[in-house]
This record gives sequence, structure tokens and C-alpha cells, in this order.
Amino acid sequence: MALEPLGAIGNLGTLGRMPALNPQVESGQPTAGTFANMLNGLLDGQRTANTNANEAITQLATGEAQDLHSVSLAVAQAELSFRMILEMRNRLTEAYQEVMRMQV
Amino acid sequence: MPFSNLFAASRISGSGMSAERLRMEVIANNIANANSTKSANGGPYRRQDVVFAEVLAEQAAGAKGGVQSLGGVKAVELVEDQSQLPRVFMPAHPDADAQGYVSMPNVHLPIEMVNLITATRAYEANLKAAQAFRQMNEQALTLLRG
Repeated sequence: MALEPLGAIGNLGTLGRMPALNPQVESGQPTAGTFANMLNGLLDGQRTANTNANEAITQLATGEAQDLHSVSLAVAQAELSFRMILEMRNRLTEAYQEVMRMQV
Repeated sequence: MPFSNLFAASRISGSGMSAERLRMEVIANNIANANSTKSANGGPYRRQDVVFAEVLAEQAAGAKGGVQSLGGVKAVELVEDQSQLPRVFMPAHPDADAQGYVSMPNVHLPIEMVNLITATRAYEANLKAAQAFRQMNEQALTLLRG
């Protein structure tokens, strides 16, 4: 009687059949590309921010810049996106090392 | 550009700073021309004011059917102050009329000074918003750190 509410956990089993959670099982082919795609997307974003910052600095150096704050903002954006990539990379490396340290 | 939405707040603050910078230019122009009796459209210089408008940027394709997103502010026009021009008695002035009076620009330095301070403070407010946004991002990044 007291354990009855826990019966709802049984419904969690249906989660495994949800296509979004395990696409490789459903389609029967590896989806190794998705993670790489995501990482590439992030890196592309960082590259764009970096290019913008570079352009802004070049414009400042050549005297074409319209105002100082847009240059500063472009550089700040590039820095922030780079740090995000860096943190994710650190996290990934950490996870990889964790797996490598695993006892077999 | 995948990161464009991530930094929307910083772009909006940037547009605010650009707008305030333009206001500063207009005020500086008013002060510089406080004694100009000739202007591009004849007659004495009239003090100018800048009109701002909100911008709603069209969001990138794929995001909820082109929903309008916030795009900051932009200056839409420069208007001339049509208030009366003060008349000063200067018979020797080349722009003096038959009675020896010269129409001077309707620029009042105290008003311009107050506007100048307002523009500076508004710029500062936008800067603060950009800094706060950056700080929020940095704090969010600390989540990734162990």
C-alpha cells in the first residue's frame, strides 16, 4: 500500500523506446556524426566571433572603425565564445581521462 | 551564424551605445554652432535633436517561423528645433536686417549641457547592461568547471 506510488516508475521503461533518446538503436546505424557536428557547429560559431573580432581590430587600426564600443564588444564576444569552447573541451578531456582510468 | 542569438543582448547594448554616441555628436554640433548665423538651408543654425526608434530584427530562418526578435535601437531622423530665434542688435554684422538685428541660433547652452549629461549617463547605462550580460555569461561558464 505504502509502496504504491513507486509503481509509476514502471512507466519509465517506455523512455527507452523514445526515438530521440537512442536514435542509433532505432535506425540500426551509427550516428557518430552528430556529436562531431555539434562540436563543429560550436567551433564555427567561435570562428565567426573570432573573425568578427579580427575585422573590428583591423578596422580600428586602419581608422575605418565607426566607434570604439563595437570593437570592444566584438572582442568580448570572441573571448566569451572561446572560453565556452575551452571549458567544454576541458570537460570532455576530463571525461575521457576518467574513462581511461577505469579499472578493467 | 550560430552564436548571433547567444550574444543578442550584447548587440542590443551596442546599438544603444551607438545611438547615444550619435546623440552626443548632435549635441556637440549644437554647441559648436551656437553662434552660427549661416547654415546649409539659409538663415541661422537651428538646434537639432535626434529621434530614436525601437528595432525589431527579423529572426534567422528556422526559428519559429520568422518570429520578431529584439533588435535594439536606431536613430531614425534628425529634427530641427522650430522654436523662435533670439534677435540680437548688431548693426555691423553682415547678416543684420534693416533694423540692425541679427537672428541668432536657438541653441541654449544650459539645455545642451543637461542633454550632454543625459547622453553620457544613458551611454553608461548601456555599457553597464553589456557588462552585466558578460558577467552573467561568465557565471554560466563556471557551471562547466568541475
